[in-house]
Amino acid sequence: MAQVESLRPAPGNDGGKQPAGGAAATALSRIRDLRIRRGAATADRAVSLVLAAVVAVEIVFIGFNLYARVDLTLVNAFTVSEKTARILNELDEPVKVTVFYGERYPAHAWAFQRIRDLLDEYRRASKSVDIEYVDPYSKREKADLLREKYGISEVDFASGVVVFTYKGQNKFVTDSQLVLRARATGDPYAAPQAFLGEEAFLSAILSLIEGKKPVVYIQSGHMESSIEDTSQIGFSFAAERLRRDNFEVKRFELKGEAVVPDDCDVLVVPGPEAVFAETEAYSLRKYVDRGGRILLLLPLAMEKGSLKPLDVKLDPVTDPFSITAVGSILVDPSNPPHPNLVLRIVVRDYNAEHPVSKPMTGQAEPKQIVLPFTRPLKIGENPPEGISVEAIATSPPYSIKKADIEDVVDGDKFEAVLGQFGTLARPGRDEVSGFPVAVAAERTTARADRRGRIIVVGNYLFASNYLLMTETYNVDFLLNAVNWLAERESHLGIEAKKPREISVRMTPAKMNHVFSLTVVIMPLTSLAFGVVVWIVRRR
Amino acid sequence: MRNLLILFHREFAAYFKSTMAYVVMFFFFAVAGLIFWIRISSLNNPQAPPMEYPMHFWFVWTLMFGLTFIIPAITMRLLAEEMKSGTIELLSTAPIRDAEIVLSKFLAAFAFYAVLLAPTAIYVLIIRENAKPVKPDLGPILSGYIGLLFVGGFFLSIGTLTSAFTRDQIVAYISAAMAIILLQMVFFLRSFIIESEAWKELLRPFDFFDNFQNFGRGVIDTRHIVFYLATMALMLFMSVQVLKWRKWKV
Repeated sequence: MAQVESLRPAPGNDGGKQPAGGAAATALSRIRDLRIRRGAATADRAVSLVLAAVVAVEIVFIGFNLYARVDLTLVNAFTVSEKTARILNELDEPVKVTVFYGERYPAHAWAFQRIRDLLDEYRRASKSVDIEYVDPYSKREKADLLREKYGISEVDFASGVVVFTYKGQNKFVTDSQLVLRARATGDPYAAPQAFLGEEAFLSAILSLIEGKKPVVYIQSGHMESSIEDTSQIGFSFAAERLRRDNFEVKRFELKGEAVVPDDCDVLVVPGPEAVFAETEAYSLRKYVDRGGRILLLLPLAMEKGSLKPLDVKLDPVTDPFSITAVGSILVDPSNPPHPNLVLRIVVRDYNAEHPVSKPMTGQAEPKQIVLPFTRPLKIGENPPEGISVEAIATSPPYSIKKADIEDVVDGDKFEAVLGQFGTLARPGRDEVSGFPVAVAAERTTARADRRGRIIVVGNYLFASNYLLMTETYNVDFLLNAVNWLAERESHLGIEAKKPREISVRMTPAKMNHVFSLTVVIMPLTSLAFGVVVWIVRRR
Repeated sequence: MRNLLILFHREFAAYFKSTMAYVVMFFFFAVAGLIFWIRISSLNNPQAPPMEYPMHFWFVWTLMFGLTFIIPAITMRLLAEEMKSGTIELLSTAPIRDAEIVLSKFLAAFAFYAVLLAPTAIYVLIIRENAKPVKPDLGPILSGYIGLLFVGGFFLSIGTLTSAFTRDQIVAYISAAMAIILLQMVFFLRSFIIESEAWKELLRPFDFFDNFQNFGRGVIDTRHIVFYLATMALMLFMSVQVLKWRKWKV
């Protein structure tokens, strides 16, 4: 409006009464005035545009420094746990993190994105984290120099590695520690199944800031699963995962009069199949009496190659805690009706109060662990004073406790029972219920500062190489158990972030319907509306 | 505020009285539907590995192919038509501020864009109903839509600005599409041409595909939101200044 006003004659200035030369001069003066005003207005606008751009840049700059992230994923896949945040905030010196991953390299891309997200959160959680990304491919020269400086192997360098440096000490986290892959395929770059970054990074930081590593002894000498055994039923992967979790893993052979070493923080007994001598069993009991910690993974319910119940005589260890390993086996009738498959118990029912099993209850849904060939455990109704004992994992409520497994291992009898009863539960002989398959207990000891702890699991195979590699949460359960036994509660509950991957299963007919709806009907409906509007408007 | 609401209603209703809007809808649903069909076919392929973010592909390809060409069509008439038909002079004589004119037109375009996205929820329902072995996580899908709204809003503000520059709708369309394509080139520059990490970081906010890595995976990062809101505000402010400047010329 100001522009329009400027074109009108000035108040009291009647142009019609002026001489012709004066009118022309006035008109010229007004045009000049108008040009000046336009020029000034343009200059004003230019300045305001520049100022607006500067303000916008400043807002973006401030926004980039003061930011927040909201993680909408069900499993909080991009949020660090409180434990991690607390430990990062307690650092008294900065931790340098050097990431040797290439964003553009296909084999690194999946992990790189997650590493960057996680380290972004680390940086937000603490100012004591200094991060450097070195692309080993596009920054080859620099990467090579750093590789030599840190002494990284060619293999680790090729597959990707993250180096943590604290007070002059280095700790490597390799790709195999960061990404759980479907290794059964034999492909080192097989599809990732879960990102273990938070657990692996925190473990690396803890190993740099903690003084002594807790020592885990793995019992041998009674036909247990061995930490050197890399076969499917071996215990080598469990040992490796314990090492990654900053435990020192050693072998221990309990024979005759041997006693558990004093430096043992946790003793793991992985599926003994030979009978313990009385002195040996009492040696274990004495170890617990003086505040020792045992993870007892029971052997198969039956002797291999026979149907005879297997009892390795470890009652002196379990009895004081009111735990009994029942001489029967659990069957899951919801599995396909095959003798081997029904013996695979999938556990989703956990004790939400116990530190070992609480993280397994999950944020969206329980994390399932798989225990094949497991036996049920029984907890005494009135445990002695000073002892607390709790079931931490329970089989599904429809699982069957079978007094003998003859009809399960024998295909013909299996079919006969199924045919006769429609289920494997034989009335009057088998019991249907949810049974404890893992039990945790602790007791007071002569040492006021240390309580004896024990965890008994119905079968050792849950921690076998095969199941730890294929069932993500079996690893979590194992690590939770050992960390609780070692009194490293700060390590509990850092969950593997398992991707929630989906496929779609539709019949060809259904796919045709989807095609019709999305590619044909939806666009054509819009067009039809357009035609109707056009016709209405024409009328 | 009252003026803004009146103008917004007028503009928003005008979309549905125009056949052009339905042509836009037709092309958008045809492109989006085809992209969705490609995605669901691969998800339904038993040989293909399962996917963690089933809608991510749809978001990114819709952003690349759908929005680049659809959004300029939504915005091309906003101010250019008013200039061409002379109705901008009528608006100028009314007691309405230029900022209200620009903002109401932008908001109407944004509302139309949101209406355009709404029926694509059917795609989510189809995936959700047929997903195996678990239902997809809705968090990343929700944040993906939020991302599409922000990126779409930014593109709409660019279209509003180009529409303010010209009275020719075709010129407005082409210049908006070119500007959006140029901005999308940032991804290729960062990924394949620029080597300097500092430059890559500097250009990162403009890399919509990088931003979508967060939105599409269920992470809402205020950095992206601040960037989009600030740049949208800047574009609209520039549109107001251009409108004032053009009125001076008139």
